[in-house]
Amino acid sequence: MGKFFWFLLILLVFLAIFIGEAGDFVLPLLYLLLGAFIFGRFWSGRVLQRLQIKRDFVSHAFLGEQIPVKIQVANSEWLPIIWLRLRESLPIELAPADTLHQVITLGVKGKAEFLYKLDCRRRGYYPLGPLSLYTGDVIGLSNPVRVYGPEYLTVYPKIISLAKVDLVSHSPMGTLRHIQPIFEDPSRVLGKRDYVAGDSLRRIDWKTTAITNRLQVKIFEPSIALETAIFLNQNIQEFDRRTGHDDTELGIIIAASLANYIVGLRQSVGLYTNGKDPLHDSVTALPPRHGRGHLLRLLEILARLQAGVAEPLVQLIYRQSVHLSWGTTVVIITNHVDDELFDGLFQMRRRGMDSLLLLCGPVARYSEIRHKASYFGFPLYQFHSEQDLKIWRV
Amino acid sequence: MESTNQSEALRWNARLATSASFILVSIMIACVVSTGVQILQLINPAFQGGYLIPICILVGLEASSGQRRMKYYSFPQPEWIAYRIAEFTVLIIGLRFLFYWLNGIDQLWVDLGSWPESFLESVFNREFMLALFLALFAWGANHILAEELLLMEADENRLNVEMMGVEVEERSAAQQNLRDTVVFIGSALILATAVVRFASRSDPAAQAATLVTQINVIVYFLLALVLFSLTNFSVLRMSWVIQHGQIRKEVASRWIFYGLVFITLLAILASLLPTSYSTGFLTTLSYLFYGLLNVLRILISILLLPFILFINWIMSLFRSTERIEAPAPLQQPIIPPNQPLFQADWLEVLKSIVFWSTLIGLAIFSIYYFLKENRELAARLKRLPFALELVSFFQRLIDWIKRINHQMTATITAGIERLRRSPSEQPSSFTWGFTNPRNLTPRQRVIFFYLAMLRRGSEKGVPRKAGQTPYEYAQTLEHALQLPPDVTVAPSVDINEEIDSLTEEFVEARYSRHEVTSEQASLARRYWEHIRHVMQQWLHSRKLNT
Repeated sequence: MGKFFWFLLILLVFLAIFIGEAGDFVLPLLYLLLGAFIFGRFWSGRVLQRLQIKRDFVSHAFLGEQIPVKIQVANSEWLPIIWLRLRESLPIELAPADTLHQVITLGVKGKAEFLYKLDCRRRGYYPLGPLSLYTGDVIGLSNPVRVYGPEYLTVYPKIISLAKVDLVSHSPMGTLRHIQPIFEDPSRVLGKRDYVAGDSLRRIDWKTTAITNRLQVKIFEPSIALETAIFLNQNIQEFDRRTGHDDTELGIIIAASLANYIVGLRQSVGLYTNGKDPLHDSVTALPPRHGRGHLLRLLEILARLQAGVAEPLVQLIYRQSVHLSWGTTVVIITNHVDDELFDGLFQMRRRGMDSLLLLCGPVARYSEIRHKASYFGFPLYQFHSEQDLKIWRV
Repeated sequence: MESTNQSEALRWNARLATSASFILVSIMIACVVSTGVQILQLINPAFQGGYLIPICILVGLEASSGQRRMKYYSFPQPEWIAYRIAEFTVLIIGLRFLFYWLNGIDQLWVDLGSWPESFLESVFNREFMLALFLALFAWGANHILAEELLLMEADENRLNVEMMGVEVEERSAAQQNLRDTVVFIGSALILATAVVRFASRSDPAAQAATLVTQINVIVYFLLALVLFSLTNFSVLRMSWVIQHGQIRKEVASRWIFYGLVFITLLAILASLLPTSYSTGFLTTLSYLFYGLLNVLRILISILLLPFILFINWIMSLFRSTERIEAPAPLQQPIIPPNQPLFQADWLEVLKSIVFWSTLIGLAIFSIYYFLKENRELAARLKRLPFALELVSFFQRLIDWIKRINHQMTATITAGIERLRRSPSEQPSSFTWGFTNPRNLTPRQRVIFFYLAMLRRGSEKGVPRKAGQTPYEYAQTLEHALQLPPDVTVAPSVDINEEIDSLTEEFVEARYSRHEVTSEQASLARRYWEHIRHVMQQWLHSRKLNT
């Protein structure tokens, strides 16, 4: 209000105390000014404090979806709100053309509702808000502010539907058919045939033998279990400076698409990445599991992931691969391949794991890397953009 | 097209608000001029300046509109100089002619004759100079305030520039300057009114002037509040527009409505609160003190009453039957007349208490906020040697009051909660194990036996859940009391039927209005005894099984 106002009040108090008879005009004035000050502050402060705010929205969305967000504001007091300015802060990646910035008035027990739609144009973990609420009294003596904390929206990464991915596995007795008879699954009986000398007695089907009166043996279908661990590199230092941002995003799309494909085959998939998850400080390690619920957990992590300066991928592989079981297929998604990485892949092979190298974006010395990978028998693919994934969409 | 309409509406609204503010300011300054006229009349009773109040309103409006017209010009520019010269010339000539018109037009002809010799003395005489001084004061004050008001007004061109973020006008600073100026002039007005009030003590003729000056002060500050409200809305609206906020249509109308309600309520409150006192501060304090002592005495008397009655009863047992001669009556002390011992009109005392507590509260509040606004001064005061102890003492006192308040609130809330609770939720009036059913009415007896069943059921591990109706509980109990086939109780007893019957009896006794007979109560007792027997058997069988 200014120093003069307080000077005036002190003057009035002085006059009221020391000039008793002056009270007939001083005191009403004192009541008027202090009443305006106290009641004004009380009014605006209280109504804002008791204001009920609710933000309704679906907290998870897929890329390209439009998410309606409804904000409800209710005045629960018996005092009206003369003016209330609401301003919603929104991330630029999702913000619609008209962001919420309105000035309204709310009567006694009044309510207001605001609706806006978010365009999920990009994967990520976005704060909706904070919603800043400003109000004040008619005189302008107080301008309380309230901030209604942000809530978060997760936009899943883009998933490209894959039809056929050549993922190798040496883990027998799974649910995926295989052509190698070495992976015969005794729980999958394919048919019966006559006994041939040398057949194991365990294979004889005694019931059929009794019916046909000839020795019959079971023929088993070979099958493999595909347990996949995706190692996703998000260390920006291991990417090209110019294309790093796009390449890390491409890596996330590949990881999400692969995970979706593997879960679609009813196989287990895990994720290990050195990217930053805003909800967790530690490195993300999601061991291989089955099911759609697990896939959603994995997609959520991929949605939140942020590339940055992190530990090198090779160190992550050394640290996490010891927890993987024999026969696991390891998919490495990176942009940086060196001898150290090949060493790591060799060690994993010795422990019975298969590896697949997926390179995102342009890679220096690509022909050399391809030659080495081919020489050592590691399948290698390079993707420059999402369109390159069409090789698996056939 | 729509944006053009909006911009036009905004411009029109802003001009309307500023014009309304100009009118308010001119009336406020007229109040100050009115007080000035009263003071001048006290100094020089020959001076008659009543006509100056409407003139000052007009001068003020002219000054404001002139300020708007000259908004884009400043001092050295010839347009500005020409306009001001013309303005003052018209003001002086107009005022002079008004002076002649009021004092009689013949005076003009007389003065015209003397102009060649003494132009200045005849035109600019003392009375005219006083009137001119007041008119110029009104012009100057309106000019200063109009300047600030115009800074707050929305100018379309400036607004566009501001919306692009090129340049931002300091409207808040202008608003603060306006407030400071208004408060400063108001403070001077208060002092002037106090001076007139003092003068009226010795001069009975000044009584009328006192009333006028007091009304002027009140009107000035009431209008100042309206002006603050109006300018506040202007400044806020401009900031909303610059920040591209969507303003709902009803905001402006609600602002005016609630603003008027707010100021009216304040005015009513200010008129209702006590403005004078009949009892001094210390006397009021002594009334309070003695009042508290009386309350304490009554409380102690109430607490000691049973003990005194008991002592009286004991003493009455040893009372002698012999008649004792009554002693000669003592001479009554003579109470001097006209010396009431704290006997005052309670209404006056109450008014004084309200008055003094309000005044002291306001004083403390003002000092507190003054120190809050002037942090440097507060920090200096805190460094004084005794200040820390004082602050610590007050902190402890506030903590103590808060604690007491918290405890009292908790106690009162608990009491209200207890009173609000429905009878069914309240703890039963039965005291288990000490109630003799024979002393109860048949209705109470039925309820008693049912509650006994509940209690025993609870003890046996089948408690009634909150929200379970009597019939639902009956089913639960029946299901729980399934006896093993090898246990027989009595051929005629069907426990399910007994539980159902007792439940029926209870529901009738609890919720019906008709009379419950003693036969029904006896029946309920029989049911209960059978149930109790089955419960004992059931418990026994359970123990055997485990």
